[in-house]
Amino acid sequence: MLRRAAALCFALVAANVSAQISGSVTLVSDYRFRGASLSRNGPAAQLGAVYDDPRGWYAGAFASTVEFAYPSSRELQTIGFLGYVWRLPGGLSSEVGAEYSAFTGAGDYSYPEVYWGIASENLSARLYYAPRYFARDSNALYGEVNGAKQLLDRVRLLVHAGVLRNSSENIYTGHAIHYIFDARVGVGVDFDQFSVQANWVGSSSASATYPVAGTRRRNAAVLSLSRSF
Amino acid sequence: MTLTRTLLLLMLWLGTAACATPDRVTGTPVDDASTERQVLVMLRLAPPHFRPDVTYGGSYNARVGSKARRTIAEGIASQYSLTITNDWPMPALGVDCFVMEAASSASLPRLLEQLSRDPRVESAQSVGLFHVLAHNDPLYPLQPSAKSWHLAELHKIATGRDVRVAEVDTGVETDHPDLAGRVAIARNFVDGHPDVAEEHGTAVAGIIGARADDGIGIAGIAPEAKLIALRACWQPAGRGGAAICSSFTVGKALQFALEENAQVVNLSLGGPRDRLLERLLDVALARGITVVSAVDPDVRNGGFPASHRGVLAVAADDAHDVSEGVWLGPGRDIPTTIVGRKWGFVSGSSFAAAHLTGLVALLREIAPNLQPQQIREALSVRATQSASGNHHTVDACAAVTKIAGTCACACAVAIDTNSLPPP
Repeated sequence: MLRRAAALCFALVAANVSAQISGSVTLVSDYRFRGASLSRNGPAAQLGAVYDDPRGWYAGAFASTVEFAYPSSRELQTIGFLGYVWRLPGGLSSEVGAEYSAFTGAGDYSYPEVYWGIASENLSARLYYAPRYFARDSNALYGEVNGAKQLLDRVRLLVHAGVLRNSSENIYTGHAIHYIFDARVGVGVDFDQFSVQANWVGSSSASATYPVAGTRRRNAAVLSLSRSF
Repeated sequence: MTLTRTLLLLMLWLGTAACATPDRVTGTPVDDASTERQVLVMLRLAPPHFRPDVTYGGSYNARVGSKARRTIAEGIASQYSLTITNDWPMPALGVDCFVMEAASSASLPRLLEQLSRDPRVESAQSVGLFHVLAHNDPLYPLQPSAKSWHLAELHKIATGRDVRVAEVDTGVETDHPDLAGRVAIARNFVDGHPDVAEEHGTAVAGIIGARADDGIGIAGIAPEAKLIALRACWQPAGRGGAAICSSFTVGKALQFALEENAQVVNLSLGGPRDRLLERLLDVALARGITVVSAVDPDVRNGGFPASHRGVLAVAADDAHDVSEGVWLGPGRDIPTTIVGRKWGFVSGSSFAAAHLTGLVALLREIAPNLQPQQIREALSVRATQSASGNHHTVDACAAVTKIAGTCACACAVAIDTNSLPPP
C-alpha cells in the first residue's frame, strides 16, 4: 500500500514540476480529535504529507498513533484525503473534498467523510458529513471555525470552535440527536521549519461518541512540536 | 512512554531545532546597487485547505509548504546561476516571492524571459527602485497652508476615529510627542538597515494623524485614525533626506496592509511601473481599500503608482503641468512632525497625498463602506478646476459635507443642498 502511494506521488511530481509536496512530523502530548482524546490522554506521534497541484487539486495522507478502549494496544490511524480548492474574490478560497479514516487493529471504526470549506488568510470554516461516524449507525455532521492571528513576528494566536451533530442509535431510546461542542485556544511559536504549540482543548461532553480509553477528561492542556517539510 | 519522557524528548528536539541552520534566508541587506542585479521570482502558494495535522490551524500559515517551495526555488537558482537572497509569502496574490541575485555579467532581460517560460515559475520580474516624493531643500519659506481646509471645523464632524490607515514609507518616529500613542502598528520591511526613525515617514505620519488638542505641535488631518506605519523605504547614508524603496520592500508592506485590513493606504512614493505592485494594488482596490499616491512631478504621467487605474493620484496645489485626473492638495510649506521630537515645514506632493489620505479617513469614518466612485464624487464637490480642466483642488469641507449630509463648516454653507445625499 505504502509502495503504491509512494509510486503515485512520484508519478504525480514527475508529471508536474510546479507541484509541491509538503508535510509535517509532530509529537503531541495528547491527540485531541474534535475535543476527544484518541491517545488515552497520552502522547502521540503523527506524520502528514500533502501534494498540491497548481490547478487546485490536492491529495494527502496522515498517520497518527492512537489508543482506544478496544483494542487496548497502541494502534495507527491513517487518513487519506483528496480535494479541490479554488480562489474566490476578496482573498477567499473554497474547497470540497473527501477523506477516509482507517485504523489498524480496529477496522470497525473506519469511516468515510466528505467536507466543504471556505477560508480567508486568517479564518476558515468547514462542514463535514460522515454517514457512518466511527463506523457506527450514525450520521455525523461536524462544523468548525478556525482562526489564526499573528501576534508577533513568530507568535500566532490560534482558536478553534466546533460542533458535532450526531444522530446515533441508543439501545434505550432508539435514534437520538445530540450535540457535542469543542473548542481550542492556544499559541503557536514558529522557528523556521519548527513549530511549538500550547493549546487548551475543551469539550462539552465526554460521551461515548468516540471509543476513547482511560479517564474521559473534558479539558486538557496540549503541547505539540512539529517540523514541517 | 510517559508524558514526562515525551515532553523531555520534545524539548530535546526543540533544542536541536534551535541549533539548526535556518532554511529561509532573510535579513539580507537591501542596497540599491545590488537591486539592479536582482529579480523577483514568484512561486505558486496553494490556498489554505484541509489538513488533518493537529498543529495546522486550518487557515493560511506561511510555513506550510515553505520547505517545498524553497526546494523548487533552489532548483531554479541553481539552473540559472542565481543566488537566493530573500523570500516573502504573499497570500493575497497566491505567490511566494523569492528575491534572487544574478551574477554581474548576466543579461537580466534574457534571464527574465527564460524564467517567465519556466513552468515552475508563476511570474518573474526585475526589482524596481522607488523614491519618496518630497523636496529636500531646507530653505523653503515657512508658511502653513493646511488652514485652507478648516480642519478644526472638520473635526467637529469626523476625526478618522478607528479608520485603519497604512502608511508605506520610511521609518516613523513613533515616540515623537505629537505622534505618541498614534501609531497602532509599526513594522520594518527593510532588511539590513537599522530600523530607525526617518524624515519622510515621520513627516507624512504627522500630517495624516498627529495628535490634536494636546497643546503642542500640529493637528493631523485624521487625529484619531489608527496609523499602521510600514517601513518599506530607507534613507541611504550620505543622501540627506532622500529615501528609496524597492519593489520587494513595498510589496511586503502592501501584503501586510492587506492582512491588517487597512482601509486607506498612503503611498507617497514613485518609480517605474511594477507588475508585482500592480497586482497587489489591484487586490487592495478590489477589496475596497482606498489607495492614495503622490504624483511624481518629474514624470509625464505622474509616475507609478499614481498612474495606476483606481489609485487617487495627488499633487501639491502649486504643481504645474500635472496629468489629467490628478487631485491637488496642500503641499507647500506644511508644518509637521520632524525627527528628533521637533516640528518643521515640508513641501512636495508626498505631503499633499498625506492630506488626501487623512481626508479619506474622515470620509470613511462617516461612511465606512464608501465605494471608490462615491469618494471621487465627494472630492469633486466644489473642487476648483484648473485652467486646463485636467485637475482639481480639493475642497475638504465640501467633501465632508457631501458624505456627512450636514454642513461641515462655514465654507460649505453655500453648497447646493440638492447635492446632499438623502438622510
